[in-house]
Amino acid sequence: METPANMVQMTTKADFAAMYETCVNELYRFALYYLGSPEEAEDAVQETALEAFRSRHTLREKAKFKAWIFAILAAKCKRSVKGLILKRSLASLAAQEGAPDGDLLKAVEIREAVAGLSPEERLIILLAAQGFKGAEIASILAKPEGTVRSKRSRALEKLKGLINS
Amino acid sequence: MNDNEKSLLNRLKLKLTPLDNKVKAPESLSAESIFAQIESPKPKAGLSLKKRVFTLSTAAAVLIASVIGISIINAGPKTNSQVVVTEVKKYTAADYKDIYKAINALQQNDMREGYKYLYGGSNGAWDDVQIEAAEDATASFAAQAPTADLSSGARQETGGGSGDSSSTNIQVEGVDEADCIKNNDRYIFYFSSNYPALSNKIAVFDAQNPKNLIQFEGIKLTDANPQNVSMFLNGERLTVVWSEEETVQSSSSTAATIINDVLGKEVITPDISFKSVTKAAVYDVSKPESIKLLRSFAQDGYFYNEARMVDNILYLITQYDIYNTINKERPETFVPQVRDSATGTQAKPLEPSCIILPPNVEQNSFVVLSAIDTVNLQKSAETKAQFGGAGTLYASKQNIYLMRSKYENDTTKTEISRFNIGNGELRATGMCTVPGYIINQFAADEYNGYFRIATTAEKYRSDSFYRSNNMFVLDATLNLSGSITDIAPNESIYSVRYQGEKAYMVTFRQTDPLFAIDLSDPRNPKITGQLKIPGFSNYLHPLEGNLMLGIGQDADEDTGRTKAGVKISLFDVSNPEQPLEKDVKILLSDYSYAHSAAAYDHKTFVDLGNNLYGLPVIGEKYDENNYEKNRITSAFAVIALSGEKLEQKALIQNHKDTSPLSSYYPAGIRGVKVSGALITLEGGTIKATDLQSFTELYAADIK
Repeated sequence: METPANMVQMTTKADFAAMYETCVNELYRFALYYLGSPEEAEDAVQETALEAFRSRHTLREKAKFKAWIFAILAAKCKRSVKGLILKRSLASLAAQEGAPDGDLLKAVEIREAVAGLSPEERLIILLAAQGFKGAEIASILAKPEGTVRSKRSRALEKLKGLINS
Repeated sequence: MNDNEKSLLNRLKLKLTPLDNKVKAPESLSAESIFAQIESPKPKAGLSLKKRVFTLSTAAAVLIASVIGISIINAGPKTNSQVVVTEVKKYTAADYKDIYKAINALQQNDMREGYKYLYGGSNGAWDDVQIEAAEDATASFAAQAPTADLSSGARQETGGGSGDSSSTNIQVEGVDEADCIKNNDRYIFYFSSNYPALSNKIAVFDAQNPKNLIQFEGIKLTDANPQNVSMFLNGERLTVVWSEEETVQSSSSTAATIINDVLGKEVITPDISFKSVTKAAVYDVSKPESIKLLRSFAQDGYFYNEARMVDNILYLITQYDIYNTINKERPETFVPQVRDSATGTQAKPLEPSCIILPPNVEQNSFVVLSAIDTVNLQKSAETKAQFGGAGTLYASKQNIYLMRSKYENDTTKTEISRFNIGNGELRATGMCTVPGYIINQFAADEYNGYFRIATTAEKYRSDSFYRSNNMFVLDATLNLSGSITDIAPNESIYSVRYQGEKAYMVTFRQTDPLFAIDLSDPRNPKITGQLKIPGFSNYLHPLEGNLMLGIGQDADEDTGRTKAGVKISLFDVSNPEQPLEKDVKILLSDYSYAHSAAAYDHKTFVDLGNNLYGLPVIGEKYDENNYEKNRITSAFAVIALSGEKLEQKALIQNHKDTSPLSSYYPAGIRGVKVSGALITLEGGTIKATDLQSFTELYAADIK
């Protein structure tokens, strides 16, 4: 039977799994760097995945899956935390085997500097580092794009020294 | 996003990759586990319900020149040195309707673009939205007369040790800057966000006897999590400034409605916004053991550490971002508000006559500026606001300049707004735009009625770009008087320092030319000489006798990759045609990498008097075989200058070396001189050190 042109096709479980798996690591990292704790990050992502699956019919274009699921995650992160700032050296979280090189330590420094941003700036910078553009970030956070741009500018300014190494 | 930012973001992503590669989602988050959860829900995986107080780790950074891997055009377009001047007076808002229209127009446009992207296709409701053009004022106005007397500044000598104690290392004499540590010749006031016990209070110490530092009760700030806390100390007044971020539930957000229409009943809207309020509290610290609050002031917006104190008047600048829900009938939903204990406890939105709506605003924010008298407490504060972002602050004794980046086509420009601050007033007196972006507040300087600004301009073309540097001299009406353009093509500015009629500029890509610039003729600035050395300086500090210190990094001459260690250079600039490097010292050179916060925050650099200088350093030493044996050192380095030689005298540590695996990460050490001794503070510790023998006099935990 033909699908009527105006009906959104329901994403199958398999399709959802495939799309989800391509960005689960990014979702987790985002939550981890924003919330600062592996346990909270795990919970946030788990809840996000469940909610995303249950409302998968609201996703209009598969190409927008990543932005769409990040919007859900960002909302959860915002709600679970108010003005939370990272404390622990993320080197301790990341260190698994071998001596990290300068680049890894640099990355850690940057993550920690990200901790020095305001919660909203952090959301924006972490999303930007995931590759989302201004318009997407604005949609994910339901904020005017101008606001996103200005906060992103500010955050990049603050991080400029670190990035320019 | 402008290309400078794009390139910054790309570099950020590159830097983050190594860490990202090590952090992976746990198995419980695999699709399989999720589906299993859906089929048979289990209780949450180990969420710690306690909200711990997280504290800020201030890791300063190593600055390594990035070699940008795209081709550079050598003969590129000449920099357009056109300076565009805007008369400001005609853009004062006539009434609240004016203000609402400007904000609404920008918001509508932004959100329409945003939602169109994410949810695909057109949405009937939005297509009908008309974007109202801002009305241009048609009334003519008299030409702006030059502003109040900009008398020539004396040779800029900044925060030196006055006998036995040091003062904040500021850019312009007489214009104090906010800092997390302040001292006079006996008392120290300190804030550290890294230490839980201190995260919402100011610690106060009596350092009259360095062998026995006494800690007083201190000042409790607020229960809400204060951010960007910093202070001013003027005579018997301590002024503390900080921001608090509140979450605001926007109940009837237009955003939610749109999503409902688009998605049906499911609502995924984040309906929580962040709203920032910045507070300033003025205290009487004549008796630091019993401190009294004298005045409290609050203004909408987030504090980005942009404030100054001139003649006991606090100039406070915040950026107020406007949120989704604005109500035409209620100005308090879109106009910045202030609250001053001197005039009552109600927050009041600003009057339209205090608000400027310039054309071509790109971001939906207000920059809010207030002048608050810390001595004449009954004098009401004056507040002005301007639509658009805040930018970087430079202030002289007479004027405040806000410099923000604006993006047009393929280039970045800097838009400058000037406010006259004579007599504690705040008057918008001009705006202009110059090509390029600035490195920091040191890129700007006002002298003898002229405003000088150094910028880096970039222009992109498909996959290559052209970059060069400029020095512009503007007159009192902000029109271009003279300029030098296309300085050091393909490099960007790393530091600038002005000394009256002279200026010094460091650019870098692989080698570091230090340029000596003659600004004695405002119509004809010129480069008089340059010095090419490996590495670069991020901060230049003028000394007596035509000497100058540079703090930065060393680098390989061929590749531009930086080498480990913190580089301190001693320059001799007595001959404008030939600046010389007289000596170089690399601190922590045997570490795998090291950096100093002074490269980015000039206030962490201290003139300790008697030719001694101090700055914080952090380094990490790798153990090749065992990561757990890596050592992180956080120290306060003391350098001595004798004749034309530099010597490292001491590395004072408040904490022992730590391992990267420990939960403690260095907070960043600050040092000041009080009662002739060096007092260093880091997170939860304070220490006093003798400045001759460098032996420890006293050490304790901060309560």
